[in-house]
Amino acid sequence: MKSAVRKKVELPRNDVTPWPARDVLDNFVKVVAEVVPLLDTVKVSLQESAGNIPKASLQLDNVTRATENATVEILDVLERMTTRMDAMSGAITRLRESEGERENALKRLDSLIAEVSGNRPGLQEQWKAFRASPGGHGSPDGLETQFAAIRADAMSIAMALQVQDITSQQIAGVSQVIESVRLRLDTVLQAFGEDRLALPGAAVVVRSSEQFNGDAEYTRETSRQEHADEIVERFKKGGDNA
Amino acid sequence: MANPKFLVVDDSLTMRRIVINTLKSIGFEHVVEAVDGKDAMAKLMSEGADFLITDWNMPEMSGLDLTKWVRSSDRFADMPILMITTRGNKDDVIEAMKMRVNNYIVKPFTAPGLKEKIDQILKSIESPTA
Repeated sequence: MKSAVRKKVELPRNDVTPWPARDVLDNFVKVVAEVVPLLDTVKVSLQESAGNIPKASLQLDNVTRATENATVEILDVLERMTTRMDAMSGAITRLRESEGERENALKRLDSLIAEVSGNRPGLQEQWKAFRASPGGHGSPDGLETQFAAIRADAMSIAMALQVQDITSQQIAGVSQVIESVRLRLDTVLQAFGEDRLALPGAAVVVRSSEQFNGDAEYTRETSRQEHADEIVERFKKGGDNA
Repeated sequence: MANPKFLVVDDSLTMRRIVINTLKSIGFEHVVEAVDGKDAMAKLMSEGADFLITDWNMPEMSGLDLTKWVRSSDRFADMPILMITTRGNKDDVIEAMKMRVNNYIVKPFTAPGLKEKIDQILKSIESPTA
């Protein structure tokens, strides 16, 4: 059929085909002759599109890997921060213990200076000024509060990084859809000719549907956990097919 | 159960790090990890554990299949199991409960939420009627 169309075969006029049918057949051959090149164009276009799919899958996989690497780096930094906060908290505790001893020493000095400053009026004034200054007392309580706040912020950042795991599962879902499209295009393209058209295979190993949850959501709302809690409680009490 | 040894199972390195860091922040220092259900089985057989925290969707062996294996084993049948997963549908929760997980957390989780669930499970073990 294709070769006949390419040759633009025309029916001989001196055969026994009735005149109107001959016109119809001629027109049919002309239409087919016009359509075949279009089909070739569609086929080439499908091949090019399908050929780009593995690249898209690879890029999605690269996104997942890059975000995981970056997330791990951030977690490393947060862990170092937390370790330093813990070390400083320990130092604050030791400082507080030594502060107690320091304050006792300062009080002894209060008494001593009061005793000896009778001949040295300027000394009492200087001592009072020192005791009124920040270094004259000093409490580490404010610092510990700050450290606790920094530690809490670091924990908040770490918890927010769960978004990387959740979005990687969403991406895996997209990759699976892309791969299914590639396979369907492969099937369609094979229908265009006798020879199997070799398409590049998937650039990455597409995870099976059991390995990810394409419907994963990242949300700070508590309703999903509350909903799960209700189901668990109902189950434990014998409801919901327990 | 004083100072339980946790086994954290998740194919995501990010999630394992977050869960482990959270456990340490709430006072549970003794933690080991596995990358999927199959790895978890091997770790349990070789090193043992007292408390299993597992994801659901993983390669090689899912968290649900791991739970099924744990509950059918002689050695680990009574191990407390907490599932932490992105799956939040009613059917998923019920399926996990039928496999006899002790409790269920939907990602993203919070540190207080994790502590609450662990405390509930540990309390229920110590006082079975609680």
